[in-house]
Amino acid sequence: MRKRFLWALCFAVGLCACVWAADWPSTAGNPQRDGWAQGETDLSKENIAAKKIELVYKYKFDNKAVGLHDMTAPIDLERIIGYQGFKQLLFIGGSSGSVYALDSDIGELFFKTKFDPIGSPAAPAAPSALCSGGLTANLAMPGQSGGGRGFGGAGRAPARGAARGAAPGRGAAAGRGAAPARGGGGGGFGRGPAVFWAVSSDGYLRTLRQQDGDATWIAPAKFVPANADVTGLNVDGDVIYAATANSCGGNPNGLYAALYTPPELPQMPGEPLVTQAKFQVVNFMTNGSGFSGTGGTAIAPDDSLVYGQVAEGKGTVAGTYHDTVLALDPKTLDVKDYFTPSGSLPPVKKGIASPGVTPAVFSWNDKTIVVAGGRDGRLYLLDGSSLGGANHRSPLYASDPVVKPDPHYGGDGIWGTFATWEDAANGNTRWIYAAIRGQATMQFPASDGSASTGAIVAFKVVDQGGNPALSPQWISHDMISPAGPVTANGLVFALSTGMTPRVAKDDGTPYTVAEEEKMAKPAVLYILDGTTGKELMSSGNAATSFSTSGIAVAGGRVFFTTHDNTLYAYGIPLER
Amino acid sequence: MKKPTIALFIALVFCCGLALGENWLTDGGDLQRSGWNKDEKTLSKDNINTMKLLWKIDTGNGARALHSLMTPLVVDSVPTSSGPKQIVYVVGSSDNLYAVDAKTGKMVWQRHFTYPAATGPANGGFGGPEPTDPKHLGFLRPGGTTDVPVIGPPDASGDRTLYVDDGGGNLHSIDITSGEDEKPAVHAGESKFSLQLYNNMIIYGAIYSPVSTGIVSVSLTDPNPKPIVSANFGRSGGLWGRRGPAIDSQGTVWTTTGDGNVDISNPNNLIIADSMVGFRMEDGVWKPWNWFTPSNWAWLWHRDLDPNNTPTIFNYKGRELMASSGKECRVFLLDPKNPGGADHHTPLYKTPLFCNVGADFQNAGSWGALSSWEDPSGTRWVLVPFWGPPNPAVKFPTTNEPAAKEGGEAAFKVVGDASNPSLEPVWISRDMHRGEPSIIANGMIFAYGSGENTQQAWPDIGLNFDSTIRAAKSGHAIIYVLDAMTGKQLWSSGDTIKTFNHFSGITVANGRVYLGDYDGTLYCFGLPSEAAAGQ
Repeated sequence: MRKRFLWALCFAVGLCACVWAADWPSTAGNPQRDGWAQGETDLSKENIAAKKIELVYKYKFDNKAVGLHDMTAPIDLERIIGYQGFKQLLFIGGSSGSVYALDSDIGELFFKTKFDPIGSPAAPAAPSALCSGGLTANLAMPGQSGGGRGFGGAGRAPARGAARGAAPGRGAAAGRGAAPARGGGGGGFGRGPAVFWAVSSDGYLRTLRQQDGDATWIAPAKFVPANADVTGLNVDGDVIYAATANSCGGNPNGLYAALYTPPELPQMPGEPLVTQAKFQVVNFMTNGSGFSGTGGTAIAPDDSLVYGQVAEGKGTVAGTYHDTVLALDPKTLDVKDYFTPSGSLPPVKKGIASPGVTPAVFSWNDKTIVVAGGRDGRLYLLDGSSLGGANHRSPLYASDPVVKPDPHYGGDGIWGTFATWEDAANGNTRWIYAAIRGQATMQFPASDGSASTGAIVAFKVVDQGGNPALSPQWISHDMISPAGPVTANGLVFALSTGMTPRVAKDDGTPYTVAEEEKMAKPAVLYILDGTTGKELMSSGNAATSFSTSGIAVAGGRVFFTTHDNTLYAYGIPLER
Repeated sequence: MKKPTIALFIALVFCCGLALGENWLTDGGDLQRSGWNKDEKTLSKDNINTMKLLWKIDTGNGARALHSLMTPLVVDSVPTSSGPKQIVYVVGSSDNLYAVDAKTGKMVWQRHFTYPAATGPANGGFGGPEPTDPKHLGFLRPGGTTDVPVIGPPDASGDRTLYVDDGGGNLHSIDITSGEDEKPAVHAGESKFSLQLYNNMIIYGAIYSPVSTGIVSVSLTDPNPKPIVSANFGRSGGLWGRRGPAIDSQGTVWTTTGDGNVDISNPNNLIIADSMVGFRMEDGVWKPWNWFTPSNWAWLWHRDLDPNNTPTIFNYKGRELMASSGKECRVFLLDPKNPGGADHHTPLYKTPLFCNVGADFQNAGSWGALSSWEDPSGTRWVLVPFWGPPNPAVKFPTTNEPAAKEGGEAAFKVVGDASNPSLEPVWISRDMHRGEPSIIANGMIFAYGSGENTQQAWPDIGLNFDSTIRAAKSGHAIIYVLDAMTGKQLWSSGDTIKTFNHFSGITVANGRVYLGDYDGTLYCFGLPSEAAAGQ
């Protein structure tokens, strides 16, 4: 019925041609954390060569940075049929406790919602480099980064740009399973309450209406401990996941899931909800470190399992965690499966960041594959349905170390999130990109210059006796602490965050916030050729501060934020 | 079927000098959709303040979604068994056609069209089962009969034929005296908007029709007519314009296109949404001949600000011009012979945004149709209805009170040489709740605010197409008569009209003003002396 309704809209809304959404609803673009903005057409090699891609606008928020936290990476709702018109909205959290929505076309504030603390949460400790306090987690909403509203395939409309010609249909969301968005996603192409979520510093889950940012209509729900450091929220259907890390606020690390029962809407606007929303919160404690990477969790395309990696800790099912990749039941968070790599790893030291990357999930030869990175600098390919085989220690593939761990607090390793895509035009070749800090130890056939500080590295997934393996392809030029990459339309978007790659002083004591800020360099956005790693364009010296967040790509634009509370938007200017 | 008295009546008219009243035979009054009734002389600035409700009639038409009574047409001196009558013809969305005596407000005859039920998804595809009450239907696809008919010239016996496309896509040829079909209907596909009669063809724009996307016509001279459809016109934005297409002196049929893509790389499948497109008959089919696409079409598409109203065509200093507008709320002056220049993006002139600064697709912008007239001094005027507040940055020398907030009418003069014409803002009307297309008659503007709630999406329930929501939140229509030179209000209908009007139009003919409302009531206003004549 929903599909029928959506098709009707193709002939309905303004008697217009149907416009297919390509959102960026959470960290790395989707619950699978694949970092792939499918269907993107405006951001292309041709438009870069023609110098059509430029800084469209930047926007300075009235947020105050808290510790190292400032603005979250944006999430993007490419189209909302809103009470004030059709809009593309960027939702961005501010560390001082507000959520902002920008009219993405023109870079103007659409709404701002300030969260007042509920109850009397414990006062946060003085901000440290790891535990800033404030609003820390990227926002999230249901959906996908490519036709995720469940009706992809028929000539998606390009977002902007002149005379681009007919956009090709994207077909089924290749490799991702094309799970339709549920639970009120879709920004207007639906009848449920279209919402998105944030976690405030008091630990409450805030449900905001996409239309106007109202966060009171659905009452906040207690979710995680106050002052916890929440990494990227994830949303799959009607479950919201929040991973906590770094034991901030003295709280143990773990994963929290809020099972959301949407409210029943009234027939008439302005009337009370027929039934109230409900949240049931469950959690899973690691008894050790938090979930690795900036994405927290990755979710199987069929929603059957939630994956995450834990550097250290212990549990009744998997025993001692040792960069263990866990597969959890999506609603109970019970451990269903796990993989623990063999070999020794550098210890995790309290108060100091360790390298870590959130796993990503993709389909390959009809299998669900999980790619994970270890503190040993290796990449692992795991069978999503049997992570480590019978002994929980057997990956489908383990690479040689891409980058060596640094025992001297250099921070060398794999960080953030992955990006992976399938090149349908070239035999469905599967690519994987990762962000590393430190000198690569692996040899790559192609490079775009020396990269001693950090880089983006690229691999192809190849068939090795029926199992996937990784074939190194290229390494980018040098970047400072690159954020998790994003891929779209044969391009790779990389952000040299400018943050110091070192995670502690030589004596092992952590840097202060002020020291981190002093050592940091301005962030630089790079757009690379996805097949060669060659730089196609960069933001140069446009940004004047470093970045602590990541990249979002949607609707023909690429976005990032910086520590001075500024958002940068690159793309093709839209004639108004 | 033809009454034997007709020939005698016509003979009397022409031989004995019996005065004939004016007719209003097509939406907008002419092929050019000017909205200008040049013949109206009864109503004047001197007596308009005495205008009052002459009659109203509950037609019994039930609304489908928000649609109810469409724009009335008027024929004077229709021969009937009880003598010549002036008759008002109005379509009701629930597949009705009514003929009402203009003087008495009594029903002369009525038709109800029946046809096989559509085979599409329930509730127009808006989810859920087909509502038992058609008022709950989605407002974008109300179904039923929503076109405005067109009435042909008198035949040799003086009789006329009314052409109407019913909700099943069947084009009827109806005798205006009896209401009966003169010949079998032709299945030509649905028309959501008004019909044109040109060169012995009924012409309209198809939107949802399975018969065609684009211009469709049916020959009136072919004894076995088949619909003539469009070729080379790819599916994207639907054909819009409440008054239907406008036709220029070259026979080019002009229509606006709704939201969608623009891709002209394939001449056999031209995708031309968000544009003004001219069709010409070539090789037995209608083909896109030329077009104007605003250079910011991607923005228009992104924001659903398509140029959705019917353009108007007129002569200015010996040159034919076309004015168009839409939800974005600019006015374009175009040369119908070369509307967008070599790149299809270059108009003769475009105004700045005069409303809809917030780029809202639902509560702002220009909707419906433009109108145009020439005053006695030879000045050419273009009248543009609008919703929402005007742009304060665009200065109109005269701004009437209370200041437009929910909508109104904007008047522009065409100035400059014929080779380089432009539009000069002159006045903006008082506030009207959703200004609708106007009629110009005898130096006055007959405008109205529909009173309709046009919200499609709400902060809490989001996008919702159940039309009863909007209906419940709507007010009522108010007719305003304005001085055409200044926009000053001369008269209003106040609270007389009880409910709102949706996507219809006002009609002025023979000293009477007609407007239908959501409840299916047709209202007739006129001078007190006309009331006496009707009693």
